[in-house]
Amino acid sequence: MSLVPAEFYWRILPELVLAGFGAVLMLIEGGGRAGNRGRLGAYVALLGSLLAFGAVFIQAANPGDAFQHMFRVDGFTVFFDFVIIGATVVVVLLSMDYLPTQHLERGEFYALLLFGTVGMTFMVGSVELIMIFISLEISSISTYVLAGYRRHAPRSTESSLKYFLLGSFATAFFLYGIALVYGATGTTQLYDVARASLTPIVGGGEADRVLLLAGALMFIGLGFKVSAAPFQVWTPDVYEGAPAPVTGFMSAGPKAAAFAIFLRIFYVALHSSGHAWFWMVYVAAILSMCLGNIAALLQTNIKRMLAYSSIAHAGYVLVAFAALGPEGISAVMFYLAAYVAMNIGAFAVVSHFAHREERYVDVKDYAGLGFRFPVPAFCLSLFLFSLIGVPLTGGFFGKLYVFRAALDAHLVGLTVIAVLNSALAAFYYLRVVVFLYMRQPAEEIAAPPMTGAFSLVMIACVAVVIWLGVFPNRVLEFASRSAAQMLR
Amino acid sequence: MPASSYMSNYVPILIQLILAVGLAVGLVAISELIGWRRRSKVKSAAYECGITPQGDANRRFAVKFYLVAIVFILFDVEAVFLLPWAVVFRQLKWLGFVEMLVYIGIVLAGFAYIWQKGVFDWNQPERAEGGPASPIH
Repeated sequence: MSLVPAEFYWRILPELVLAGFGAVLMLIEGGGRAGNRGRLGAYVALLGSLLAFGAVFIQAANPGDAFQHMFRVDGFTVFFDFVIIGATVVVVLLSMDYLPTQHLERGEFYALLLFGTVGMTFMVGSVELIMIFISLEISSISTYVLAGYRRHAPRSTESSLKYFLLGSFATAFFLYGIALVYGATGTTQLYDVARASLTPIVGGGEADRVLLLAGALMFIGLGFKVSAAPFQVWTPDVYEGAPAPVTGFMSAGPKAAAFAIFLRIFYVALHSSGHAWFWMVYVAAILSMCLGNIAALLQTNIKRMLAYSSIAHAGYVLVAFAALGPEGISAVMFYLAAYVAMNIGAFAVVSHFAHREERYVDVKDYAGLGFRFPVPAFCLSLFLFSLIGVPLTGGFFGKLYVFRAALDAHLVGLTVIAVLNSALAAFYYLRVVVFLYMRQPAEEIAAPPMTGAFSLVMIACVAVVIWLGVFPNRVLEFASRSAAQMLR
Repeated sequence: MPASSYMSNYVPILIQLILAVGLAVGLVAISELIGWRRRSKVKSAAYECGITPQGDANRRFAVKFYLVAIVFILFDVEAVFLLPWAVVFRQLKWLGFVEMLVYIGIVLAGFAYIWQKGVFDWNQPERAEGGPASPIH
């Protein structure tokens, strides 16, 4: 048998496609001084991300382990690859509008998007801690740079620097957690860690304690990446300063990927100490929901409001996480799929209205837009209703499955807090809708043109939100099957 | 008692540490205590080949220096991966050769990118704000 069989390459095909197109983009951007490189870059990136999306089907047809059991293609990997690469396609389309408006169009932007996506897709497929760490870094470093892409705007630079400093700090915690896992079990492969933790090499309960400490450290690192309280402090500033499409991307791709490895590490590798780390998740879930929703009530800047709302949504996901079973995993997966669609959609409309230098990002600027720009305003309202969890939208079934998973695990108190929080959250989402349709504009904001790219973004996001809200069964069944496969 | 005998292996190191620290601290302390000093202008001036400092140390440096430093470290680290590959080159056969070609190809693509971006072009004059788009700002 050869060292690297051909199917190993099929299993990482989406990543190969993305990385290849990223490299091509860098070469296009470097070459020549022609004016239309940015536009060309956008089309190349769009082609690359669409091909990668297609490559996930080939990946899905070749399930199994690859590269010394460091990478695994199962339903779980495939599900998150679809979500993440789908998000990238939408963000590329969105940037085709946004970047020329801001005079920022360069090939590097798209190259960074694709490289970041490579990191995220590797993250969800990796079943080995070192690989997870490396791919986490690939994804983080790309997003640090993307956050500061409006580099003439002080807020954007601030956002990038804050994200970078706090992010590297959190990564250090994560890395130390990996070191302790290796110390306790002698391996970094997640499924081997699970086996080794049942028959510890160190006697007298030492291994258990070390693994629990490792879990706590990794919880800090990953809690930062998913912006769960009490590690959420960076979120509003970073989301506010970053370019709007990048904010949409950050709140979707990296978050979904981080939750994916969160699930794999805690449900698989640290399964044996579940009764202990359960309380970390429990407390973080309550804190995230309450802090996120209460702070969001006070915001007038839409981007900041959505940032706090994303903290709150991380809290809802953690509620399902605390259920500690396959139902919890499938609820997390379904919720994330719905959340990615509605959140990117909302940020797409925000970036559509933002105008040059992101001048219009206040709730007051949205007054009366419902009648001047009916289509984007209607879509925004739909996404906000989905974020509230109104029936017939993906957000409704997302919340329903989360609450059901928590109730099945007898977490009544946690579920009550989550339900109260979703009621509270309705207030600030509805306020935007009120401004859209029931207030008179103080200032006429400049009319953004409805381009083809933006229409496609709206169609894609609305379609996914409605689809998940009306026919959730197929996605949920796929998620449950993958959850069972992942736990094996 | 195995534990104590294990730690006793380290006693010579402890003695050496005490000696080294004691010697350093002791010599400075003795010269401080019994030495006599006369301060003069000549004595506080920079000695022989020393250069009198000019201006503030917190100056702004051109970003080019950082770029070159980063690029140097990147390629330095990437070259390190060639060494283990060269050691097991024969066992890896053609697969290893092709994989290394791909790897070097990726590194070269990065090299082409920074070259075309003008990172190595130190003759490029500083541009005024709002000038034509150029790679390094």
